[in-house]
Amino acid sequence: MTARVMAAAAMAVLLVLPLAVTLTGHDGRPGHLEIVETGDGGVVVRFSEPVTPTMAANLTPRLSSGWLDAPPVAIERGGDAEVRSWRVDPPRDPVAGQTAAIDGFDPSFNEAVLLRVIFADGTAMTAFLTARQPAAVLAREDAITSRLQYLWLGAQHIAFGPDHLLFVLGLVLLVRDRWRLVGTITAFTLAHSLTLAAATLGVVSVPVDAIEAVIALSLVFLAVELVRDDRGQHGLMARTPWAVALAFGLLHGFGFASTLLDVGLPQGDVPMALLAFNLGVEAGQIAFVLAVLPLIAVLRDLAGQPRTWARLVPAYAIGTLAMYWVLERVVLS
Amino acid sequence: MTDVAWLPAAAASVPVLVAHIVPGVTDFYAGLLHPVTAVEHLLTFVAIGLLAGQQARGVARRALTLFVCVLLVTAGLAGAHGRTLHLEGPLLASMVGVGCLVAANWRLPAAAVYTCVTAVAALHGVANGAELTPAMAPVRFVAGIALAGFVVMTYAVGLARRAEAPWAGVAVRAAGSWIAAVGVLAWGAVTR
Repeated sequence: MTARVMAAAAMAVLLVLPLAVTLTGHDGRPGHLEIVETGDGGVVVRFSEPVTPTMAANLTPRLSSGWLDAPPVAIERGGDAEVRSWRVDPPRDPVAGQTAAIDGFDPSFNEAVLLRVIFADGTAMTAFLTARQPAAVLAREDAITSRLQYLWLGAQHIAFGPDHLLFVLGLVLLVRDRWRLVGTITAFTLAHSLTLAAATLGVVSVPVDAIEAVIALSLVFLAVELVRDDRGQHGLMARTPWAVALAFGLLHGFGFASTLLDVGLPQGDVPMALLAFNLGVEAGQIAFVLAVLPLIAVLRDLAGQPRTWARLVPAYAIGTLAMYWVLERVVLS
Repeated sequence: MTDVAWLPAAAASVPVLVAHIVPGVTDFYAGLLHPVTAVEHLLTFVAIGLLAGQQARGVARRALTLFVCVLLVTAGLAGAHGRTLHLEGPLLASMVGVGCLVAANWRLPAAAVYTCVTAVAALHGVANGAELTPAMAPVRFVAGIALAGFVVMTYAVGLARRAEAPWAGVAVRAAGSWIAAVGVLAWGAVTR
């Protein structure tokens, strides 16, 4: 038995470690270009670009009015970002109708800038500028377009968040009864919706780095439970999966909130934008579960009576990757 | 070659807000999306899965394992080699060939199935791995390719194995013939 488990562990490490070790490099944080029409008729432009000890700022924001061709009124260099600010006093050209663009994108680094415009009447516009689409025309968004963007952002966040997806996969592997699985996923959803709203609205504030490390730890816990369950040792997670999913869902909600806090919410439409983002997350989660269930069914059909080590490979793969993320987020961050 | 060939690049650039949580995951997703957004890869993966699913369970299981392993190794080798390859003809030929085998619904000897799976996986592994750019992390990109192959083939195996009703078996064979037809049409378009 021990030898088989060791074999499973070795296979999981061999499968996952190369992937985990290479999950480093450029950190991909977005830049921010914020254009705000102030109450006195002026405009404040703020451009924040991530920098690292080995990578200096290399992007240049532009507006078709030429406002940003002037030297910035202030340049602040922090540990991880350089912030340039401009101030435009009245009389001035209108912001709406101008084109904002970013020069100097390096496609190989997946760079992107989140463009956010807040007009004097409280309406807003949000867009992503990337190497593929480095410019955007500034215009007031209608509420539907704005909400659809937040819906898409939520779906994108879960789709490209392997830690969240692996947690859901672990739940699907652990809870075989369909109705218990529905209950467990629902508990996870309720919990992360709660903390997502609380953190985004500023009711609760938690350090993102710590939360990300604990999210990775939740995966380690789940992987251990998968191994214990395979041995017939039904732990807390196997007995009351909904309760544990509820607890860990609270943590994952803080993780989702970090994305939304990066983007910000449109003034005057906060509840609907928050709801749209959350619905996007749920849609992505449900789509993942629906995609994974038939896959697992086919594999179980093909495997027949799999050997112990083969059954344990998913658990060890999840655990190995999660443990790497824990170390990365605690030690390397 | 296909209208959606830009999708993997888009995947690599879009999820910047997630990349700050799991650094550099975009290369993995670019690899994952590369084969499934190119018709010549996607339909061949489906066809090879259907072919494996038409065989006995043990043969299908070993074919799936073999396919993923060969895809992983050859994509990695091609990525390390780093040379642009023009394999449209062989790729479409594999699509037509495997599609025809599915349409024929033959119970092939296991060795023939494994040979076919190995050849297809090697060809498509090389073609996908050669798309690796210097800016990408090779292991992540190749792991994404292998996962895409695994998922698509597993679905296809499942479809073929669940096709117990007579009409369902015919539907699988028809799917094979359509894949072969698409391959012929694409071949004609490429060589025109």
